[in-house]
Amino acid sequence: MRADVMTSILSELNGSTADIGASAVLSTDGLMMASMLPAGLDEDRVGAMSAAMLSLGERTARELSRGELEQVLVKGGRGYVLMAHAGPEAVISVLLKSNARLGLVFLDVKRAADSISKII
Amino acid sequence: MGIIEQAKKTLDAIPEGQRFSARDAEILTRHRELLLSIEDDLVKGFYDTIQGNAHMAPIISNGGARSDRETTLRRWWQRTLAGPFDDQYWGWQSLVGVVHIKVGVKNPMMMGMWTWVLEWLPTQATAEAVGSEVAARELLGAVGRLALATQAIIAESYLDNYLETVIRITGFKPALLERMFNNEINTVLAEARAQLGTI
Repeated sequence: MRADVMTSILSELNGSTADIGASAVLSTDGLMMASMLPAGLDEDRVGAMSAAMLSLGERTARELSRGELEQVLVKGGRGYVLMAHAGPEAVISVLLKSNARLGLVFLDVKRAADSISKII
Repeated sequence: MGIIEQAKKTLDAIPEGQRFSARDAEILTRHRELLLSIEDDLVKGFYDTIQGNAHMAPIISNGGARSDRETTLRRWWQRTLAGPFDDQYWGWQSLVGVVHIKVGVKNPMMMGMWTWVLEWLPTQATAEAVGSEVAARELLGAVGRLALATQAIIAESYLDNYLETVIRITGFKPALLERMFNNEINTVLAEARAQLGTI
């Protein structure tokens, strides 16, 4: 039931802009909770990597006195990966196109993260 | 997990028949004087062996003069025999493992030198020295189980402390590390099998 609601939130997020190619929600210890990922991606690996990246981001922000972590953004030649907390125990991970309008996407992802945090 | 709890967990994982027991503690205590009396020969033989090994010799020279290292070994031997063989004692043996990480003593070196002790000891703990064949066998058995317990604790503490440093630096939850391990172990296994040419 909860997974269905999360999937519905991800579906809405993916549909909100063509800049978003895929998204997933996972626990901070890397367990996949809901996902709308392309076929061929290993969900277990994506879950563990996303949780690891967010954890590293948190530690980096704290050690370098950057305040509370808001998001981790990874830029590759073919696009971005954006990770953010969805409440204290969950992470939302989103794949973006290389020409994505980041400002708008940040807002959409934040809204989705807030919705997810309310049901966890 | 604290160092004492960590050591206790390792000891509990050793099969009961091979685990260091209260009776082993009693045997070691009974023969403590004999074991302490062979300290000089133990220390000399131990460091002669290390100095004769190309991998281990540099660790001694990096750690200061041989006499300093010998003093450390003497302290370890005395403390190892002193008991009481309680949780605090095994926690201290685990701490020795942390020191090994710091000074570059690898587990194969530690285990190799324990084997040297176990092979050398029967030349000292003879039936004549201990009192009878049975008593000598009992003593060697007790030291053998002490060696097993110590090696298990130090080897486990080596891995646990490496993981602990990763957790401290990255903030990874232990459950996340466990998940990463479980995700990757099948790939690691398949690659290892491919390297060995086995199915």
